Amino acid sequence: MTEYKMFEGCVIGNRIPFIEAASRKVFDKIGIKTSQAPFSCCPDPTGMKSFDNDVWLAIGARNLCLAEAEGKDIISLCNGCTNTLRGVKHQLKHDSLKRDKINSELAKIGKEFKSSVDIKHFVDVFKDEVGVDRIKGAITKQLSGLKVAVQQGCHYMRPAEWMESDDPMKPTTLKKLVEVSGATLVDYEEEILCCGSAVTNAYEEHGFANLKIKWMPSRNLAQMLL
Amino acid sequence: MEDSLEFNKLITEFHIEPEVIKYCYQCSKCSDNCPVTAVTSDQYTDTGYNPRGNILMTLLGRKDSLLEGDDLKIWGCTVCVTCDEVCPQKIELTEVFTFLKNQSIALGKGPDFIYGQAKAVYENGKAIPPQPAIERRREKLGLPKVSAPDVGELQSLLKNMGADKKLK
Repeated sequence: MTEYKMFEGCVIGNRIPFIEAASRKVFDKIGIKTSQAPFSCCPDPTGMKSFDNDVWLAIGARNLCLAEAEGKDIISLCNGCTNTLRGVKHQLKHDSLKRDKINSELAKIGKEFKSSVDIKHFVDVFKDEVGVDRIKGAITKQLSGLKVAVQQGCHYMRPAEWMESDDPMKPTTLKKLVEVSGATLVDYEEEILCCGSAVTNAYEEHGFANLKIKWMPSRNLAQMLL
Repeated sequence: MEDSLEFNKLITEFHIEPEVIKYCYQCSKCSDNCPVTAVTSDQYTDTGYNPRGNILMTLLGRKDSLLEGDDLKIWGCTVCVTCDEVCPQKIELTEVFTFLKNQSIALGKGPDFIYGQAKAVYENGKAIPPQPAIERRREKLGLPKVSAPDVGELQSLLKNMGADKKLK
């Protein structure tokens, strides 16, 4: 299997590294090879993009240049990073004026965005390259008796225009992975509702009102897989 | 009038497919499905967050109505991109709202959080800088050190683009 450049992102790398540790263990077991690169912040599709879209494009394109220099696709552990890097590639691919502008800035630091690498969320690598059957075969301990509700997160599948990962309003991939683990999948109506993170950062009260709607019906029913 | 024409020009230059935004017929599917509208909007007092209204005001070039007054009008968008998916005219609403947010920042407005994150990225190359406690935890978990970004190179890129001047 091809080697990917690992994009763990700021949140996983510098705040919740157990997710990276768990991911690396699974990658080793099913044969996904990765290596590191000195990536910066992706940057955040809700923060830096709102600050300045061109700056968001330039920082994202610079990260893509680092992967392009080694000719390797990126595997991302984070929905936000995947969304940014795919979004940057999408905008620069479809808007030649923006691409020229960003490339003239990148030229000043000795780089050029060529649009030559792909960015994949690890869930999609599991689905498309490894295959659900192989994942099933690699599981040694079935999670029988555990009830799991999934929270795919908005940026894993929206906008469908550039994420091209799953149905934007009825995602199924993560659920299929839960099913092969032996756990019992718990459906709930608010499954694709936003967690409200971006608005919580600015308006705590509105963000938390959002979360409450999301969590109340499913409480006590299941563990939530984020 | 000139101001609104200029605003219209900016939005059409920003949007990937500038003509598409004009196809909006105010059906309200965006607002009906917006999670923030659900918890903030009061149709009787016209307060709270309303994506349909933002598209209308953008089309009309009403810069004053959008960028002055309550920040929630623009910054209530939580970037869930649900509106893009339910729009029958396939308008990329979230891109339009990104444009509005960028305009708000250019005026020095917008939530402190956004400035804080931009500053962290400028100073450390990461929105969340490395911390000794987490580095120790990474070691315990058997993880390699995070590959450090070239902060100097990133700062040159941002300075050349004038991003440092927008920081607070």
